[in-house]
Amino acid sequence: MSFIQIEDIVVKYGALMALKGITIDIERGELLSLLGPSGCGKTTTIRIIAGFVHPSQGNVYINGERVNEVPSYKRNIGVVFQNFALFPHMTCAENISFGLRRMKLKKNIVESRLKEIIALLHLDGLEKRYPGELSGGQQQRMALARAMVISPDVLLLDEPLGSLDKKLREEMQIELRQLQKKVGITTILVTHDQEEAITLSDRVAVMNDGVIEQIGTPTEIYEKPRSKFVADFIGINNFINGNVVKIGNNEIICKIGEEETVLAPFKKGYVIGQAVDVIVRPESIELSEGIPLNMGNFLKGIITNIIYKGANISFFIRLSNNQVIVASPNKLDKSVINTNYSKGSEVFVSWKLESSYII
Amino acid sequence: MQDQGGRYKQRPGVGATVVALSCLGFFAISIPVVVMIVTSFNATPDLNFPPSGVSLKWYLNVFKRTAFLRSCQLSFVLAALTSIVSLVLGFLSSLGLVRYKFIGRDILHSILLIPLIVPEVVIGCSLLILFNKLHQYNSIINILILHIILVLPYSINVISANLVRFDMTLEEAAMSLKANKITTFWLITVPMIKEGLIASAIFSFVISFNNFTATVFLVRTKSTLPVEIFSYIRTESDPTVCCISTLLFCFVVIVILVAERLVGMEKLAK
Repeated sequence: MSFIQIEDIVVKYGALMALKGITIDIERGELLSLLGPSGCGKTTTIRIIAGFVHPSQGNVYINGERVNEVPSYKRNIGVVFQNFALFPHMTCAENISFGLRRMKLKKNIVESRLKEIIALLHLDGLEKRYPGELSGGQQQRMALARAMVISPDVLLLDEPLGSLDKKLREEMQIELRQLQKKVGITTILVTHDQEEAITLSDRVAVMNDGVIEQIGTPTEIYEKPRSKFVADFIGINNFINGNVVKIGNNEIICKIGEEETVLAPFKKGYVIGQAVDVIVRPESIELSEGIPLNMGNFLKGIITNIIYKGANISFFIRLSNNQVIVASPNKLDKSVINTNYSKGSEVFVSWKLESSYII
Repeated sequence: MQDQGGRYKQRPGVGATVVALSCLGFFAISIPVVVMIVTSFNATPDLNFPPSGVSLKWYLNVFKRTAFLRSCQLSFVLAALTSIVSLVLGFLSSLGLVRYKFIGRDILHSILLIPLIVPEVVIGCSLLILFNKLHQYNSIINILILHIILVLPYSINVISANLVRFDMTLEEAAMSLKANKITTFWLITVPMIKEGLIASAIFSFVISFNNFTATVFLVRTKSTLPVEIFSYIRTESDPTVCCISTLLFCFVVIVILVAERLVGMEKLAK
């Protein structure tokens, strides 16, 4: 049995179903992200594991033991809340050692573990300060220290980096992952930031409206999304509608609009005539003025908008079937540099076969 | 506390007018108190102002008449007990009303606030009738029950206001850190609403101590200080009562200064 398991969890608030039957197995030492939009049920899921919410149906297992009836203070968990929930009337040291002091350990053990975690999270010198006197980053590390020092079976993080600015957030993401790997603690992270989920996790569970759409490694989610929702949420928002016209050994040919066709890598379970979406990752699309050579797919289009994004440039291109797709090549890419594209230009968009995927 | 910033740009002269009006208001409120304090030092057995002589003999009179001292003691004890009981009952009621949803919750809340609306005469009189019917003639206990009833709505209002703004994730955090419900209650909940509890205790004490209208219905042989003062001024008109009031005034000022030291005026006013 896996280390943490939630099985067929249903959560109802009156008539509203927050979770509609969730099953997740989490291995010891892994970092799993729950990714999804607001209201999808990811925070509710983490609260089920913590014991703050009781499921209407289903079972929760921690380390092999069924914990549905076990109160939060008897489950071996560590929680970092979105608002940190630091005790304002206690100092940094008192906050962090709060859990340790409930455990009836010897005083010198409490002191030494406190010292260890403070050093690990770079909070030296701040022991006597109150939470209100610390910066956002310091508060976040304090909340993390408080949850980790009690050596929980599982660490539950509810959008812990949400309130930090971008630069700090990215630094903390790296620190967090390194820490997690070093200590080897099983961690469940809730986030709505797909980049964060892909960067930090061993596996990602994409959730939508109370159900899990897909669980897999970041690579699987990104390269082989199982539904339009997952692809869209993960940032691949080019969906080219078409109909299957031919199924080959290695590829499936789809007709787009009146004349053009695209090829997508072969995938089982499709029949001729079926309406499908072919997704293409924006960063894999190249632009050219003439018909490109050696590319698996190309389509004609007109640029409707150009947005400069720093490292990339996003081109919005209308295809022959009136659909708009986005190409985001790196601005130093050979297909973009030294060219003079502008709104209204006619271009060819192309991509390799492997860069697309049929849904 | 961070400054909100953003001062309004005032027309010149408006600020001065506001200050002047505030001083005027403060002055108006404090005039009776000043007159009372000055009159307590009158040499003559009347309430003339300004006084013709200065004497401390009326202060001596206060301490000579044992009735005043005994009634003051009773008032103190009653106020202290009322304060403690209403703190506990008010806290428990507020927890129930704020944190739980049940059928009839809003009706119960309204019922608990009724003593705020019903005239004290009615409350005092109807309790007198009730206690007589129950053959409950211990006036001390009766007055205590009366005071708790009068004071409870204030207690509930103040403590509920604090509880409504209470961040429940703090309790969840404590529970995730191995604190059971009782430990969480004493280590997290109570300290966080400390200001509300202190404000409630002070309110309760003052309301109980000062109460006259309802208390006078239930007084028998032993009376509270307000009732004793009333009896005195029905026959005498010397400044003795001014002395009592001045002494009480000093006491209240000291209590407020001490409370401010402990808790901070901003927090008390919350």
